[in-house]
Amino acid sequence: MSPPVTVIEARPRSVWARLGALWKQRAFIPFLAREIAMKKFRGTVLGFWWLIVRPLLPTAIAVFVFTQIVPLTTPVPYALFYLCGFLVWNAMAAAVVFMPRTLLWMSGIMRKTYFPRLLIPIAAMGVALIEFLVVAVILLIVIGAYWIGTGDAYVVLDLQTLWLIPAIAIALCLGFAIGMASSVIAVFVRDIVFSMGYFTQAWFFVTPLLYPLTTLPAPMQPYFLALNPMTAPLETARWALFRTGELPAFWLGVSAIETGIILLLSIAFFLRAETRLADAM
Amino acid sequence: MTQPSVSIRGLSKAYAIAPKAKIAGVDHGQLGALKSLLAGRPNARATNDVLALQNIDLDVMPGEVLGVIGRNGAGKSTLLKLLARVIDPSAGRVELRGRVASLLELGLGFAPELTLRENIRLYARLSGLGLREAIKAEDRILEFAELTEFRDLALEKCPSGAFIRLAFSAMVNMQADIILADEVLAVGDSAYRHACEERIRNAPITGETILFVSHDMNAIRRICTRVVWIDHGAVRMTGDTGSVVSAYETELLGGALDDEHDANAPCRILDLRLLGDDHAPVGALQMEAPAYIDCAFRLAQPTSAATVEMQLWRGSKLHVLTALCPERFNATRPTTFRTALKIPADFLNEAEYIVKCRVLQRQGPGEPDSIGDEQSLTFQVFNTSPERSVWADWRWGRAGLIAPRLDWSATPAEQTYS
Repeated sequence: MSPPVTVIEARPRSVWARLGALWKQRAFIPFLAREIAMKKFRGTVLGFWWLIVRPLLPTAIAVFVFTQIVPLTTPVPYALFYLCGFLVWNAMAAAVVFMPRTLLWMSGIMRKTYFPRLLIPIAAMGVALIEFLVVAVILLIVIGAYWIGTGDAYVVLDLQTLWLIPAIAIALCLGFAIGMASSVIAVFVRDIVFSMGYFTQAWFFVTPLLYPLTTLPAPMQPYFLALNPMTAPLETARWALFRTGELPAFWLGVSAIETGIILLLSIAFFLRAETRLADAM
Repeated sequence: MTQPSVSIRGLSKAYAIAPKAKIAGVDHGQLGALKSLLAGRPNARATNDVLALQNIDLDVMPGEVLGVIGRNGAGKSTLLKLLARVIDPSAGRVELRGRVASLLELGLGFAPELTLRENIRLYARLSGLGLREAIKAEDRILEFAELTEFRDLALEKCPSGAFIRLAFSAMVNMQADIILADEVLAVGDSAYRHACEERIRNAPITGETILFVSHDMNAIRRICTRVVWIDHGAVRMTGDTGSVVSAYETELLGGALDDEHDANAPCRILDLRLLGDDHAPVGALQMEAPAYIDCAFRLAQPTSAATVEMQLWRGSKLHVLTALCPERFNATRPTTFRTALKIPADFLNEAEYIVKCRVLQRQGPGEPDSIGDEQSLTFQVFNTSPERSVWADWRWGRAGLIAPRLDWSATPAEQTYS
């Protein structure tokens, strides 16, 4: 039996060869995810409890402000309205907020061992997914509380509820794409680590998350739907759970296409940068 | 006919050196690298690239133990990193026949919070072993490293020295065909080093191919079947161990150090290296033995009262100490000098240090000016024989910049006040 031959060349390997290498070394993903999670919460008193505190805190603030101080009329109780939107939003934002640092965190191991570097953002998504699941559980608990407290769960469960899946998938892909590209940039220019927080915050306010899309003037709504790929997934998720308003199926398709383009560009950028990463560290 | 298991053709590695441009106190040297990346010229060569390796051709046959020698910064580690695929080449081609195991920068990227067993399993999976083979390799690795009793203990809780034992043992017991070892014998007590050497010397029997980087010429002589000498990123000489090592040592000791580069510089540091207790070059320091940081420099122009300064740093922020050579060097014609700073035993802590070396000259009143370039060298200090060190009954190391042997007094308090 002849041993496997590895060829190392200056010319970057084909995209398919690299994606194949990803599959071969997949056993490394849980370890990387663990390392990233450890780095993320290292030095914190609450540690992994931050996974629960981080989504709960803004929810509590938003619910307090928009029910007590500036009451907003929403089709369902505000806590449900907000949490449903936040579930989708955070699927994207959780990744964008911490992924810029992930490559820098892993620089020690990258200097000693070879593995496809794309495994790092993939593993980081594992950490973001856990945060997503935590928000999902919180949403379920709040729905349960309303059901027990008022006898009305506000939720419609049928086949149409499955529209949640594309909505969440788009959010996760967007988070992955933006987080991955910014993690590469952060290796060269640290500034992005700081600026991604502000970027996400600005995006947060122009996304109809704190307020229903219908509070905006009707002529402006198509712009919000077309230019912000997070608007349609949010509206879709609310429709899928509560059947309020109407299903923005067309705009969800537009968001999906936009997200697909951003994702492909981001992967291409990462693969191109891969060979340069080790030199820059 | 057997094929070479490592076949290198025209291998080069260039590093882009970013110009140190600063605007408003902000370093944006890396901005250029990012721009060229965005512009889509991932392998574009800037004019100010530094060639770490140029045009290396090399074949290594199965069963060979190839020693890789050369001065600090000559490109030995770069070569091994390229073969381990930690960095990518700028030009050329390498063919590796078989599975590769490597030990670079004296670490495998082990996770301190994981147990030894988990670490081994992870490393095995990364080296391409299946889960079943990985579990089988576990016992072998722990036994060779003499760490079986600690198998379920987190690596950070194991005695100091366990880390490097585990790393070496994992590397050689992975049933890899090609082993890349960078300064692996620099650490460990003599019994352990002896066992490691024996293991490497078995390569002709097991059919492994070993690339062995070391500063320790005695070790190279004992275990290598062939040696390649790398100088300024190029193969200077390759051949049987005895002749290449003697040629290399002759050049180092004879001071016949080249001065073809930058003849106008008033002073050039030719070599900065670590010497062990016996004044032989080593790749890392042992905590419990004295060692030397040896500097060779050439005063190319008539100079008077030049001296050598060495600074020790931990990382880029912690300045540990500055040492100034009391000797004043005078030259009326181009002369090469050698000076060594002695690091006492039980002084540095178990950590990575950087030594920065410059030649200074007092020109008029005020602080002396630096003449020529600064050279730096990163090295590790290991506590590999804890039983003989300050920490005889404290095997787990102690935090701090340095770890000198200090005297304590201890008396019952009553006596003090009587």
